Order: sequence, then structure tokens, then C-alpha cells
Amino acid sequence: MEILGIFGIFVLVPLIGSVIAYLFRKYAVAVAAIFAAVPSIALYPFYDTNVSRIINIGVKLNLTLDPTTWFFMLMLDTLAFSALLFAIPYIKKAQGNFATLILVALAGANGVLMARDFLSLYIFWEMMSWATYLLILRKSGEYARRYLLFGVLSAYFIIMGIGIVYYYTGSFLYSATTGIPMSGWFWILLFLVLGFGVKMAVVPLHVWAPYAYCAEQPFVAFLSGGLSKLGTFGILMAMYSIAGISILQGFGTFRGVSLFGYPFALLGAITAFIGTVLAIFQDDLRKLLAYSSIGQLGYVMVGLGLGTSLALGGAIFHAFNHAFFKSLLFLGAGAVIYRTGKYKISEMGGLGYKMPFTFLFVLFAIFALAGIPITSGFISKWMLYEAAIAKKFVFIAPLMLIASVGAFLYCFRILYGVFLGQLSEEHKDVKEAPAPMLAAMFILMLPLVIFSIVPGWILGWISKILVSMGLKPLEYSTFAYYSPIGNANMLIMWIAFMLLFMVSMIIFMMKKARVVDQLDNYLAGEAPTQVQLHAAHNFYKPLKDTWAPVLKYSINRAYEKFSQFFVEGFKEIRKMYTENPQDYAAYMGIAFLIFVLVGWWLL
Amino acid sequence: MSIVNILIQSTLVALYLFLAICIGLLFMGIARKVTARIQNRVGPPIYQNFIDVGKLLAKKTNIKHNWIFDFAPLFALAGVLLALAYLPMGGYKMLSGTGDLILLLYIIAIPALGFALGSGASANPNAGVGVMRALTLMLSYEMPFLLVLLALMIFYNTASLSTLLEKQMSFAWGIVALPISALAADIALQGMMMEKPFDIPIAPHEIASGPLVEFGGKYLGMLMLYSAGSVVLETTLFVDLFLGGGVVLNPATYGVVAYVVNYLVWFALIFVVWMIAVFINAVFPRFRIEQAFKFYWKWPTVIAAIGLAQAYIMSVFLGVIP
Amino acid sequence: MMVQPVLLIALPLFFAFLLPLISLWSKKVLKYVVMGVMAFNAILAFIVLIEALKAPIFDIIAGFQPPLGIVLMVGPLGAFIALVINVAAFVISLYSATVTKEPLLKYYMLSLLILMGATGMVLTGDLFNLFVFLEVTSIAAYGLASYNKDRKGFEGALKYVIMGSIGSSFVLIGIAIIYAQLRTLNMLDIATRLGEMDPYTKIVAFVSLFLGFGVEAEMFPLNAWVPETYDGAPHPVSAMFASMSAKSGIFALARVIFTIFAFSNYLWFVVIMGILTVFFGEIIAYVQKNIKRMLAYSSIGQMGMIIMGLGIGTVLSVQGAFFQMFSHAMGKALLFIAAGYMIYAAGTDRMDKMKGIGRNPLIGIPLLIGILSIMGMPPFIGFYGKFYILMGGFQQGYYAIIALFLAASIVEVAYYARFIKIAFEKSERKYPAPNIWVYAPLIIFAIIIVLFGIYPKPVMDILSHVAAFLAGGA
Repeated sequence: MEILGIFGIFVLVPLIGSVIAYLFRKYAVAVAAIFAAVPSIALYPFYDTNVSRIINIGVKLNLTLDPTTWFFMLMLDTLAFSALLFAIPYIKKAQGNFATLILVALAGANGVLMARDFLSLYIFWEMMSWATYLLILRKSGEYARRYLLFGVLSAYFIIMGIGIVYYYTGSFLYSATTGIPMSGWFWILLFLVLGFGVKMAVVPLHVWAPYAYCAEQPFVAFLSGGLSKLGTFGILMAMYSIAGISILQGFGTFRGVSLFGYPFALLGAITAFIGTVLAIFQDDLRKLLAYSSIGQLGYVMVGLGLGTSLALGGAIFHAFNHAFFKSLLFLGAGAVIYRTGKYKISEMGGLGYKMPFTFLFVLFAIFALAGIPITSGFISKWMLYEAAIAKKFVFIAPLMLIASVGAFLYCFRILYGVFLGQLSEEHKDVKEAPAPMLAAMFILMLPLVIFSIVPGWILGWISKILVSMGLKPLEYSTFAYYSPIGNANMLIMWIAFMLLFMVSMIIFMMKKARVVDQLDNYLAGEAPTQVQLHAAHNFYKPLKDTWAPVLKYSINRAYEKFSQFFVEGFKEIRKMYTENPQDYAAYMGIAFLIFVLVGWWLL
Repeated sequence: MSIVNILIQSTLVALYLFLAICIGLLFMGIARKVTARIQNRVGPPIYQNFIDVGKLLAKKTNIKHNWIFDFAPLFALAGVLLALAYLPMGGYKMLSGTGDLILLLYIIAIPALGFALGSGASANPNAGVGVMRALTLMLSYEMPFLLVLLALMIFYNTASLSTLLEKQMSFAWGIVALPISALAADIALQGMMMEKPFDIPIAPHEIASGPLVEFGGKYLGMLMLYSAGSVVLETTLFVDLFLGGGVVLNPATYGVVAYVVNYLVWFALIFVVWMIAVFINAVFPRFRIEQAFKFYWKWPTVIAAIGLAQAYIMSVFLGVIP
Repeated sequence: MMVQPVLLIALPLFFAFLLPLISLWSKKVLKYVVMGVMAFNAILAFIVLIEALKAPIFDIIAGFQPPLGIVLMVGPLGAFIALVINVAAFVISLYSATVTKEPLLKYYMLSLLILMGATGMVLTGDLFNLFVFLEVTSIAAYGLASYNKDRKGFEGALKYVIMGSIGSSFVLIGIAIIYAQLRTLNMLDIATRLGEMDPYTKIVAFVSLFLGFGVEAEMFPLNAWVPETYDGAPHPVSAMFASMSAKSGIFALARVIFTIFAFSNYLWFVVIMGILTVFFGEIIAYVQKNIKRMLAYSSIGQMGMIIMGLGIGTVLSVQGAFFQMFSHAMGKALLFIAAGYMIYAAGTDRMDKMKGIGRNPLIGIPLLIGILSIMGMPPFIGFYGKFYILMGGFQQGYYAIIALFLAASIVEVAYYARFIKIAFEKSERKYPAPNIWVYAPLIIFAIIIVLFGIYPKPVMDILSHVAAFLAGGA
């Protein structure tokens, strides 16, 4: 391992593991979990180091493990491990495929994070991309196809970006990007940001996500939480490491924010809004989480676009939080789906009484998602809001804020529809999720709590990343954090909350309460049979009715019409091959004439 | 800060919080009386709510459906107290120096979420419907309200409530500087306090008080305390944002006297704000939820947007720096 | 050990005419003999490649001077392509064991001849011999194309004959013009004395050769025979066409462009032909319902990509083009073999009737590897060729063409994904399991694709000689 160094540990181990795990057949996922644990544990000695290595496989792979990579890798490898741990009981069919592909995707993801030249970036990016595709294929070919088309679109955007860099520099190295004119930079960054933006599911390139996220839940947890962060990482690298802040500022600035970044920030805010609104009306648990994912990554995009220290720090932190809470939510959904076999929120209900631990973990994830201050999810949102408000952006800030209110709506939809309300007769015997699942969810919950009490730790890591990109460090202390216009101290908040909680606990404990059956209800004069229903079907109907005129437009349908148009065109073109040899001979003669004439004309 | 100092501060905060809850209960009693007089009834005595809470908390039989049910009273009361602790009252900063408006905004969500969780944990469909309405209503009024907050934060260039109070004291009260936003905020406040015409979530005649339907005994008692806290919370929020928090004397120069005077002024102001809400409540019928949504996203939002534009123009183009 | 490159041509030729004698003794042993010959030939090709890597081999056979003798000019690239062709031939010959239709003797003779012709086209250094080998390849191919003796086979073969013979005539015309002007047929000789030619005639000669070999290289618009011929031919033969005759054709094209004419100012024309080929190939493949036709059109698209790479003409893009020849030979042969099995197992060539056929991992995994490689996904060999061609294009600043190319690639991805979707759909239907002659070649190809995809260094080392090739060397 020493010979290959970081390449060996973070890319080869998962790759070799993927082959070995496949051979174990019934225990494949468990074996894969062990192989995924190796890089996640091996990561710790690399804290705050800067290791580089060039691997020559015929093309040179320049790999570096620096604090930026370390931070993202910490997130991804932990997620991959948890997802595989969760998958041990979850995946019953064709375990080998699943384990292999997850490990390939992990290797690809680690490679993308370590790559410091475009060639290896692209190699690992595509590796991750097709592994994802095949994993979705396990669920549905059509969904997988949609994912692949957008995946390839993203890859080709990236290729265009890489190509333009190559045109100017003749090198694939990130560090060799000197002497590119501003017009070149514009196109490079545009293509790269769009390419990576597809992975982040930025509107209008988001339509793959709701389909892809219907695949098996442990994988989706890794996809939505982990792999989508590669888009974040890519944009971060492209804009702030490869190009750098001075080039971004060179496009002109608007209150200190690059004019290149601002439209993307606005797009991010719009994404946050659209994603949230669509999430509110979903009945399929997986789709709800998918749209929520789109919305949350919109926030990250806002931060990436604004690019001040506070915004960028918020974006990175939010990406981190989103990785954990969204994976946790998908895993929680997975646990519920595993136990009930249902996907629709309206068909569940009351499962929180039967699966208390799952409920608690999901509850924490939802606190983080909604930005309740007792989780770290609040801090990153706070940073993004303050960054936008401090710069007085009157379009971005309200969109983000109202989207976050909308998040409460769909959060409660999950909580109420799935875990609360009436427990239906057929779910009377549902058991708590198996131990590996709970362990996986517990691992994911930890950082959300820890970093809400001690945000200083993670803000220190993020600050290091920002400094390495030439930005100002964040202002923070161990428990508190500051923006130009405000501050918040988590320790005081926690202590105050604990004390006040104890006060209400004392009042609460003064009298005992007796437990009665769930249907022993105040019925307001209704017949008891009338209230035996779980009020989760079409939950936000009044709201949906008011939104109906807007909701009838669908970006998805627009894409379908677009592709339909092209397929019709293809059929016309196909008629050129008449299957008549005389025509073919004529083509040949015509070609000869044209060639010769053009040749002569050129002389 | 020494330990003694911290202890004194904590005791003060505790006192303020206790007073706030009492004020809330009193206000609710006053509201019942006033509404009754407007509707030509006699109405209960204004201390009725104290009696109610005492009776409910002292009840021997308390029933619950499951353990999640307990979330409601615990989170609701603790959350509302926490939120109150971050609000300056009568010039006393409480904790607002260590957490700004955005933090407060999210802390306010804690009691609401806890309440929603607890009521959702009952199998009564009315509770679910009630929470759905409450959340939809929240989405409705937050649109203008967030624009208002944004206008304030942009104009005063701070997100910290205590700084906002200082700036209002030295420059001008929010209602003077940004009257349009204040109007929008007051309309939003009506929804936030769930007073008519926006008492849709707890509509007693349609959904049997919605989220509250399954609570009784100590549960209901604690939730009443929460409601009392909410009344103070919401009115104080408006007063702090637009009426300078009732600060008329600078504590730095006048010392304890200033605190007492400011507290009284603050009390008078929240009373006025509360009375406006109560008067509107007394004479209006109830909206349907979709009407409420359409209403809020239409006129108050437009007003708030105009207010935001005003703040933006004053702050960015005219260079007015409070 | 010094190996004469001529053995590569002589051995298949010798055995092709020995086969009737062997068949007198035993018919069953025929396929093993052919496999053995091809395996041995592949080993020889490997040794030749090692030799050629040290220095290009120039070999004049039997002492006859050109144009009578056969002049071999084996550079590293030629040897590499010869190796690719031979390896593909060997692996496909394993699959040929599933062909049971008589007359087997003729089938094996023709397949040896097609190998000999294709290898000869790659190795020869003489323009006239190039033509001769082209004819050998083509005529063997005509025979194999109609081997099934059904309507589809005859129709495809007939069209191939028509187009092929027009193409051959063009080649002949081109050679005649050159010979008339320069009195030489040795490629290097022609290259050095090119300046003596009348420019107008030169263009006619170039266009004739370009179009002539373009037929074999499946260039637009000369590729109309491709789908029908591939569709009508026996399954192993389709694979042979894709990985052997097409590869020799495209190598001949490369020879014409770089070695003989050393053109640089008209290369954009080749790029445009390439992009048109890609575009029409991929677009029409999208609307195909027949699996072999889809693969055939996709093959056209891939060849167009190679032509583009040659046309762009930077070291990087030509490296990419050669890598792409390698990866396409492997990938497309794999896919045609898989398609052959599928048609056999499903009893139809319509894709929508093949639900769930890939769920058997012995078929499914190689199939996926092949398709991903053809799509150009790393770390499979298909990636490097595509990427290098594109980067070469960027070097020259052909942004618009590359954007078009990428658009066509998305179409390619779309139809392959549609095929994968069908092949891996859940289905009740049970398909017969493949026998060893089916999955062995699939697995060999898959291993090659993955191995050289993960570690392309050996291939990259060979391709580092491209610069010399472009400069007009062997």
C-alpha cells in the first residue's frame, strides 16, 4: 500500500474490494462494508496534511489529499460505510452487484475528490457516474436511462470545459491554468459549473433526480447525500481553486460578488424554491425526499455563487449537513419501506409508535433539514442567509427564506404521514428496524448533534479550506459564529434550552398520565367509524389547489416534448437509407464529384 | 463574566420569562372580556385564564396516546420560553446579544414543531387537518413577514435584535422609518397569532379545535401556558421590530429607572398591539385556508415588497445609514 | 527471435488451402485447426509488434522488386493494428464454433482468407498490394455475407458487392493515376515524390483512394451497405466485419492520408466527413428496432469518430483514433457476439422481444462492459480513444464540431441505454443458457476491455509512435 499511497488506500482498496465482495455472494454487502470502512478510517491520519502522488497508468493521474479533499472525503466515506451497513439487511437480491457497484462508485468519488488534473477528474467522474447508473438500473431501466442521459450531458459539459482549458494551456493540470483570457475563462467556468450543476440537480437540470432517487434506499442515501456533493466539490474547485477569486472578480462585481457567480446564486435560490414547492405536494416518500434534496442543494448553490467567505463557508457546511441529514432521511425511509413495503406516505401512518428509534433518528434529520437550532443544520442556513442579507440581495434572500418555511411543510408531511397519525390495522405487527440499520442511522446522526454544540470544530476545517482558496477565514469561536450583521452562540442557546426544558419537565412530571388506545378519541359527534382514517391523503390539498395554475407547467414534460421532436426528425433522416443499391451508387458518385470539385476549387 | 454575574443575569431572565407568561395569561383574559363586550356579552373575569391553567395542571386524570404525545407540552413550553428569552423586553436585552433575529426566527419554530408533533401523535384526523392548516397558514403569512424582516435588516444593516433596538433609539423607530413594512407586518401578525380572520387551524366549529383536540388536563394546561407565551412573543416581536422595543430612556444614562420606565412603556405598547388584534378578531368571520393563502401572497406581500423597495432605496441609493 | 512479418499473411493463406485436405480426414477437427492457426497467428503478430517497436520492419519478399514483389512495411502502429485484428479473429473464431450450417469447410476457408486479407492490408507497404489484399478481403467478405443463404443474406451481400466493387474500382483508378504519373507504387516512394504530381490530378487520385477505402471504412455516404450486410451475415461474420475488415479499411485510409499524401491542408474535409458519418450513424441507430442493425449503425458512428480523429490530425487525436480502432474492434465484436446469442436465445432480432435477456450474469456483465466501453466510459478502453480525439479537436479549436459530436454521442447513449433497459428488465421468460463457445469469447473480450482500460500504459507506449507515423513514417 505504501507504494501506491493515497491512490492505493482510497481508490484501489474499494476497487479491489468490489471484486472480492462480488465473490462472497450472500455476504457481499457485509464484506463491502468492511472495505468501505478502510478508507473512512484511514482518513484520520491524513488530517491537515497535504499529500500528493502521481500515478502513471499510461495517462498520468495527479492525486492530492489536502484539507479540502479531506473534508469532502470524510463526508463521502462515512456515508458509503453507513449506507453499506444499512444495506446488509436491506438488500436481499443480487447482493454482489450492489456491493460491487457501490464500491466502484466510492472509488470513483474518492478519485474525483483527489484528482488534481482534468483527465483523472473525468475518468473518476465517469466511473462514479456509470456505477450510479447501473445501481439505478437495478430498480428501473427507464429511470436509469433518464439518469444516464443527464449524467452524460453533465460529463459532456465538463468535457467542453476541459477542452477549452486544454486549448489554451495544452495541459490537463489544475495548476497550469495561467494565461487563459477572460473570454476563455467565461466559457470554461460556464461549462464546468453547468456540468457539475447537473449532479447537484440545479433547476432546470434537475429532472433526473426524482427518478434516480426511487432506487434502493441505501444507495439513494449515498447518491443524494454523498455523490451529489461531488457536484458541489466540482463547482468549488472550478470557481475558487482552478479559476480563483481574482478571476471571478475580473468578470465585474456587484457589491463585491462576482457577476459570474451572481446568476448562479439566483438560480440556486430559484432551485431552492421550486424544489421545496414541488416537495410539498409529493405523496411518494422517495420523490418527496428527492425534491427536498433538489431544494437543499439549491441553498448550496447560492453559497457557491455568492462566494464571500461567509457564503462559501455556509455552502460547504450546508453540503456537509445535507450529506448527513438527507442520507439519514433516505435511510429512515428505507427502514420504513423495508418493514412495510410501502412507498406512499398516505398508506403508512403511526409507524413512529412501532419504530421509535427510527422515528427519533428521522426526527433529528428533520430538525436539521428544517434548520431547528438544536442541530447543525441551522448553522449553515444561518450563514447563507446572513451572507445574502449582509450583501442586501433582495431577490436571493427572500427566496431562500420562504423556501425554508416551505421545508417545514414537507417535513411535517413526512413526520405526520409516516410516523404519526393513525396506525393502520395491517401495520399492527411492524417491528423496529434491524440493528445494522439503526447503527447506520446513529452514525449519521452524530455529526448533526455534535457540530451544533461545537460548531467551532467544523468551522475551523471549513475556514482552512477557504484560506487555501485565498478567501478570508470565517469568524468563529468554539461555540459561537459571527457575520457582519449578527452572531449566535450555540452554547448559551443549548444551556438555556436545557434549563427551560427542565422547567417544563418539572411542570410536566407533577402529574402522571395514563395511556389509552389510539382510537379512544374525542370525536366531535362523528360516528367512530368515520374517524378511523389517517388524514394523510392529498395532505396539502388547499395549498395545491391554489398552486394548480402554476403546477401545470412541468419542466419534465418540456424535456419529453423536446426529445419527441428529435426522434421524429431522426425517423425522417433514416429515410435517406432507401435500401436501394442504385441510390447508394449514386451517393457515391455525388460524393466523388463534390470531393473533386471542392478540392479543385480549393486549389 | 463572573459566576455571580451570570447567576444574577439568569435570575433576571427567569423573572422576565415568568412575568411574560403572566402577562400572556392576563392578555388572554382581557381579550375574552373585550371580545365579550364588543359582542354585547358579559364575558368571564379577566383572571379567568389563571384559574383555568391552575385547574388543568392540578387535574388528577391525565390521558395520553403514546410517548410522542408528551413532545407537545414539553417542546411547546420550553421552546416558547427559549424564544422569549431571545427577545428584548422593555429594553432588557435578555439573551438577544448572543443570538440574532434569524436564530430567533428558527427558535420560534421549536414550540410550533413540538406542538405539531404531539398533536400529530394522536390518531384523531382533526389534529392532522389542524396542523396542515397551521402550516399552510404559516407559509402564507411568512411571505410578507419575511420581506418585512428583510427590509428591516437591510435598512438597519443588522440582524441582531439588541443592535436593532439601539439603532431605533438613536435614529428613528421602525414604524417611522418604514411605515409600509410596519403595516404589512401587522397584517402578518394577525395570522401569526391565529386571530380571526385567520383562526383557521384551531377553528372550533369545523375541526374541533384542530391540533388541540386530544389534549386535556396537564397537557392542555401547559399548552395554555404556551399560548400565553406566544401572545407576548408575537406582540413583543412587533414592538421590538417597529416600536423600538418600548425603549424611551437610555439605560446607560438612567440606570434602573430606565429599565422600569421602559418596561412599562413596552407593556403599554404590546397591549396596544394586542388590542388591535383583538378588535379585528372580534368583528371578522373566518377565512378558508386557501383564501388566507391567496390573501397573504397577494396584498400584504405587495405591501411588504413596496416596503422592502423603500428600505432598499433608502439604504442603497439614498445612503441613509441609521 | 526474429519473425518475418510475411508469416502473418502466409500462414492463414497456407492453411486456407490446406483445410480441404484436412476436411477429407475429419470435419470435426476443422474448427480447432482454424482456432489454432488464428491463435498462433496472434502470437506471431505479438512478436512482430515487439520487433516493430524497436524499429520499423521493411521486408521485400522473394527478392522481387516492386511492383511484382510484395513489400511489407511494418511500423509499430501497423503491427499493433495487425495484432488487434488477429486477436479479434482468434476470439471470434471461438464463437464461430457455434456455426453449424454447412458448408463449414468454405466458411472456415473464407474466414482464414478474410484474416489474411485484412492483415495484409495493414502490413503492406505497396499500393498495388494494398489493392490486392483489399480485393481478397472483400471477396471473402462477400462470400461470408451471403453464407446464410436466406433473403436477408443475399440482399445484404448483393449491396455489399455493388458498393464494394465500386469502391475497389475507385481504388484501382487512384492507383492507376498515381502509377501513371510517378511510375512507382511503393508508398514511401510516392510520398517523397508527391511534389512531381500535377495538383489537379493529385486531388483526383486522393479522392479516388479516399472514397475507395471509405467504403470499407464505413464512411458516410458510402456506408449504406453496412446495416443490411451486417444484419444478413452470420453472427460471427458481423463481428469479423466490424473488427477486422473495417479496421483494415480505416488503417488503409490512414495510410492514404498520412503516409502517401501527407495532406494537412485538406484535413478539415476529412473531419467533416467524420462528423457527418458520426451524426448519421448515431441518429439512424436510434430509430432501429433490429439489434444487429442498431449495432451496425452504431459501428458507423464509431468509424466516423475514428475518421474524425484522423482528420483532426494532431498527434493526440490520431493516437485517439488508433486507440479507438483497438477499442472498437474489441467492443463491437463483443456486442455482435452478444447480439448473436440474444437473437438465437430470443428467436428474433427485434430488441423489444428480448426482455430480461441480460439478467444472466454470463451475458449481462460482458454486455454491460462492452456497451459502457463503446459509450466511452472510463475505465474501459473506449474512453481513451474518444477523449483523445476530442482533446485533439480542442487543440485545433474545432469547438462547433465537437459540440455536434457530443450531441450525437448523447443520442448514442440514449439508444444503448434503451437497449440496456430492455435487456435487464424483469421478465418471466426463460432463455437458454449460453454455452462455452458463446461466453468464453465474451469474457475474453470483456477482460481485454477492462484490463487495458484500467492499465492502458502498454497501448499508450505503442501509440507514442504516432508522431513518427504522422511525419510520414511507417
